[in-house]
Amino acid sequence: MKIIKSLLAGASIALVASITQAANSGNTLASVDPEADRLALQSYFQKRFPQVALSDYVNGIYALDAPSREQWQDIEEFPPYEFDIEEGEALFNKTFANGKSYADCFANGGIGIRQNFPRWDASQGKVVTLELAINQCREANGEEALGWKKGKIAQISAYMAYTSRDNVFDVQIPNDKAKAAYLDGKQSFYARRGQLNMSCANCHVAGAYIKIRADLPGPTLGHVTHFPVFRSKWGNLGTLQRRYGGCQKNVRGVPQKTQGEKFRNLEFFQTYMSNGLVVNGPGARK
Amino acid sequence: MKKTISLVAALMMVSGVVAAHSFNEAFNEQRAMYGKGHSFMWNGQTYITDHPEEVAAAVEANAANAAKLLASAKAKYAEVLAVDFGWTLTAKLLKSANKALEAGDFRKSMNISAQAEYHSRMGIAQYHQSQTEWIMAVPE
Amino acid sequence: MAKGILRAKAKVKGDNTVVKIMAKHAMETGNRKDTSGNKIPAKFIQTLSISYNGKTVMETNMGTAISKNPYLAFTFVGGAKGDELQMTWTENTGASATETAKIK
Repeated sequence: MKIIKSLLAGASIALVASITQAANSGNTLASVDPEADRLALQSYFQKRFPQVALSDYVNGIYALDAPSREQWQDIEEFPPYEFDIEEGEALFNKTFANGKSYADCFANGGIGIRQNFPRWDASQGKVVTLELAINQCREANGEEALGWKKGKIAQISAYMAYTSRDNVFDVQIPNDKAKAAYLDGKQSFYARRGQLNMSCANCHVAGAYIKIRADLPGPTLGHVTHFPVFRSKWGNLGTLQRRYGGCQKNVRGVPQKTQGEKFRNLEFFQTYMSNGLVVNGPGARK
Repeated sequence: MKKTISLVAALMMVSGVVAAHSFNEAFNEQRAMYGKGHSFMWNGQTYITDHPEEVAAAVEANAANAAKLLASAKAKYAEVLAVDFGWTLTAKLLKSANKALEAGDFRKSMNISAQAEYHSRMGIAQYHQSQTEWIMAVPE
Repeated sequence: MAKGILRAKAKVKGDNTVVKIMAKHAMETGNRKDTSGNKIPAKFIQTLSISYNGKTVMETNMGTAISKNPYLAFTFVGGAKGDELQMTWTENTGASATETAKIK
């Protein structure tokens, strides 16, 4: 296939986005209202898919598409991430060289806490994701940080998610600085980027359940609840921010930094949008 | 895009006169239909469907010019990366522009550098647009 | 007792028993190279044989064409709740083991 190098997007940059006009309120630091955003998103999807229960959105596209749901349910009988949970448990329980362990870094010994991440860390002045917390725990205890996208960090995250299954997501925005991070994530989600000039929203809000080549993108409501994910395409387990990078490459944009400020704020925004839904990680997807 | 142009507008296009849309829209339509180097009228003035980078590359194909354009394209790429809006194909273009330069194919190198610089300029425009246009996509 | 490499779920359905098995195994073909360029030695399941009440109900010859963590499912006539299946696997290296699974 000849790669089209000449710009397609030049035209669309000039064009106005075709999605619903939104009032400009709610999109500055002074006016943004995360709760209103969350409810507006729920209402948007409930209007589009009136037969789908809110709680089912944790299953992504499988909540909307019956044929792939069937295949996914078959896979879930023997989930491909099962071994990763076992390995994650072993890694989680292993003590560091200094005698401490992950349990010392997390509330409740790190068990059943996935639903509180990402969290605004006031002392660091930034959003802390679960993976970031895992690596900060390691470094604080003299261990080397793990790679962010797959392998051990994904397995530990998978185990921690697994112990939190059915807990309700409850991401907090305690102050204006956290709100600014939320707003930054919101902007990232809706802004177009890459040579294909597409935003997350193009595929996962307006484009949810609409064929893009041979795939059906899932709705952004409940999008993050099942991570880390065993993605068939990868043939292994990967973290949410691994997928962020991949998606950005898919629209031909140079991916932003994994666990950098932009991605952490984006994850903060996306997870807040899924408040009220349950943890169902780790998950299996196409 | 061609399909959405109404009959009237299409007739006007054919005659080389472009009706009221923004310059960017007019430019892109004309270029999509006629390619580079095509002249068209917009708001009473004549324009040509060449990007500024292509105009800059339309100079004598020699080592000095090729090197200059490549340096400019690389600088632009660094600029767009600094705002986190780089495009994935640009790095490959810069590489092949460099390869062509080293092989002495200056015309090829200059054309590719022009394309690479265009990518980066577009990315920077995207960055600026992303500060405001995103709001339109948020469901109420 | 150490966990084996086979995870099996066997369920009675009418007159039959439906069995699903996932094996935790790298299934190395011997052709992959590591980061230093050396070939990773072949290590794959060669046969997997399931028997019930002393009779073989399923036998597979795997080999290098089967990918990592093989998953298979099959149905056999018979089987009762609470009974056991014997699952024996052999590897190209000569290793082998027998594991059991209960029918639910």
